[in-house]
Amino acid sequence: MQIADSPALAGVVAPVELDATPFFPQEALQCGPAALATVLGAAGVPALPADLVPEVFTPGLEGSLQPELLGAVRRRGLLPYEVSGDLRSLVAQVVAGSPVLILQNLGLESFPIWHYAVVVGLDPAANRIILRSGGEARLIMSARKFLRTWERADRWGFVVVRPGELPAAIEPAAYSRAVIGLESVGRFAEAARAWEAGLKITPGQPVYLFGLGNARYALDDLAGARAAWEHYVALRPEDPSGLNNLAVALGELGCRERGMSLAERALDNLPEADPARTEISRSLQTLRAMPPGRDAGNCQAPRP
Amino acid sequence: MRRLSFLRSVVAIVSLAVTSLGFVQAAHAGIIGTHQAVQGVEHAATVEKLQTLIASEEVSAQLVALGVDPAWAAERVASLTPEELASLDGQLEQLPAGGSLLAVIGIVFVVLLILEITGVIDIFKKV
Repeated sequence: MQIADSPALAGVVAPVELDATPFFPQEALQCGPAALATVLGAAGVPALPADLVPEVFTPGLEGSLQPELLGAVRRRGLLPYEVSGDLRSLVAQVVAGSPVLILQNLGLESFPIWHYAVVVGLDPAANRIILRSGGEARLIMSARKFLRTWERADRWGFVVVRPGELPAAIEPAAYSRAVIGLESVGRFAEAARAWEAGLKITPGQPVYLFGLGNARYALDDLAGARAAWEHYVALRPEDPSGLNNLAVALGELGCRERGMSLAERALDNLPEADPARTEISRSLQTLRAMPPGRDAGNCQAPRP
Repeated sequence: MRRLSFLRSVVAIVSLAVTSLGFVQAAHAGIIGTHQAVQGVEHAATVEKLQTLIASEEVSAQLVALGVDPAWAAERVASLTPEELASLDGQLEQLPAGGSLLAVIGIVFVVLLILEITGVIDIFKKV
């Protein structure tokens, strides 16, 4: 495949190069910290490779593991958005101004030599790619050669996205995975901002809505969590997870009756052996144990 | 070794079960996480939390054994997702660890040089 085949390059005649991307010459085994510092700096969160060494480098492996690079990005409250497998996505990121940290296997499949570098430029006419790599600030490589080495590393790569901004050529599944990563490491405020940004361009994306509810709930924004889950349940009325979470929020907002009916509906939809029954039964018990009383008028589902 | 890691798991389960039971109930009463919802709720949330905590303990110990500072090892595993922890657990030495080309020496160097000249690989322009 030629890089010029990528739709992101349609109409782009001139070469693209992100000159402002910082460069850190690699020291010894530290291509992970150097490449990571490059993409963090480009995202406006400067870091020095030497300071990143204890965060990502593993001496016994003489290298840095892929998930640890992603983890270091999350630790800074930023979103690592993976472009895995997709040259089009990689090209689109560079065209949109984001350098892409990629993994290459410079050796053979049976004798791998793993190396991280950062794609900072594309020259469609010459079919070449420009990288910050090792000791070289501008390594120019033919697209064919680049693809071969990238292919041997399962075409893995990511960009650093600030929560609230969106990656180019956004794929909901990849974006959701990235934001769920922030949620699972407890960065709820950043996760909420990221879900909200996603919903601005795809307002009815169910996973974004579900996730936004979870992030807001974790931030003690009950009314906000309820709003997101109401929208989700309106879109997926029989989904047990959505019904359960909305039921819990409603209970805490003093809407016990509607909460119980939603939790019961969630249980009705689940097979007897489903492990989620435990969670939902517990939610229902909690709701039943709350002081009885009529729901107020604002407990009903909002009108669409 | 196997026995040791089994023992460590048991210790981890017991200690975590004791310390986290109250927390799990109080902090997120009955909420199903986005990760779980997307995965199709394969496990009850408490089971998943426990498995993740055990994997963090294991991976953290494996990192320390590979020379990572213990305080950093704990910090590092805390920034990984449940899938990433599961993929790393017990696999650290099999997975790609991007490093450098400087370790390549001796006979390996000669073989690589031939491969480079014949255009099969491409490593010597990157150091």
